[in-house]
Amino acid sequence: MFNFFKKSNKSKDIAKDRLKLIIVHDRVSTEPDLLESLKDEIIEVISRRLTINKSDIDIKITNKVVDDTNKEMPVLEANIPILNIKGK
Amino acid sequence: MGEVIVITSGKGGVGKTTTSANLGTGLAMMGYKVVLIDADIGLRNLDLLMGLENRIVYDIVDVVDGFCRVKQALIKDKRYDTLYLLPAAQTKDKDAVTAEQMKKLCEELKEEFDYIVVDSPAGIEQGFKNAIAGADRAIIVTTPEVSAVRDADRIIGLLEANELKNPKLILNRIRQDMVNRGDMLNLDDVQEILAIDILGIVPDDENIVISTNKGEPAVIEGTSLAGKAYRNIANRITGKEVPLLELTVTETFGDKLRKFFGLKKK
Repeated sequence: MFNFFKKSNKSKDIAKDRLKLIIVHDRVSTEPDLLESLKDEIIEVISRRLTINKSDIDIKITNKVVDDTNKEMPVLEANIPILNIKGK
Repeated sequence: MGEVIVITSGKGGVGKTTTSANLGTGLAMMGYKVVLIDADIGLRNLDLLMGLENRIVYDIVDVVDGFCRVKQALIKDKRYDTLYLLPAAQTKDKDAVTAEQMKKLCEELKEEFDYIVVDSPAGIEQGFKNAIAGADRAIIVTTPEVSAVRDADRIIGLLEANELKNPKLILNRIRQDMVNRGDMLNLDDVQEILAIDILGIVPDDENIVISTNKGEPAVIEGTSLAGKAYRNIANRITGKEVPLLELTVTETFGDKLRKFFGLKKK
């Protein structure tokens, strides 16, 4: 409710927020290896404890409104179905 | 042994050529031996800004193609004895000089000059890649606008991919009145977004238009604020520590009144 008062209406702040978002997207899309290597590293870590299927993994960058800031931010989304928990 | 500095931006029209002309002249004013290379082949303009457009005989393509020696193509500046221009070709394509040829040319000029300032073309294609090929360091020019800042970020990535680490930023055409109103990105904003070191700030100054009209870089003139900004930047290039230019706006009576009554937007 009070976010209305908090939110800046200066045009330069709008520019700054927009730039931060687009630059993350630019960097991800112009560095094709980034998501792939991220995926490989995530798989490596998770595979120590969980059984997962590499081809089931969906990883991407999206824009989302983050709760406490009420601002859109780039978010790394990873959907990793768990097949089993590895025994000790 | 000299140093090759490439002036680049990604986006066109942000002041690369103006920056090249002023920094090259500024360095020569300090007594350094400087050569300006116009690498914007097909869209030659650095000669105009330097007021040397009527003296061109040979150009950079003639040099790399072996039609003349480098010395024959270099045009001596009107004002400073240690300043030279190697003009771009006006009738050739952007890739008339290859990256290899540019590297070789820069190496040769380094023997003779303290600073080789390369004015890169806009864009991120081959012309840009050729222009940066011989560079030891890079200066990125941007303006406080979303498109220019976005393109600057792309250029930072491309420079790093080409082994040109730690490029420095010049924030050009700042309008302090708009910054004060919150209607223009300020230096901190741009630095936060791009996360690179600042080499200098240059105000939006009508003296730049006037000096461009005359073909005399503003840096020569003692009084203009942009000229002072460029002299500061030229000093920083040589390693001197100079504080950033203070940009202030003279307040009108109305501003003061609004401020007094607390109406002025912060």
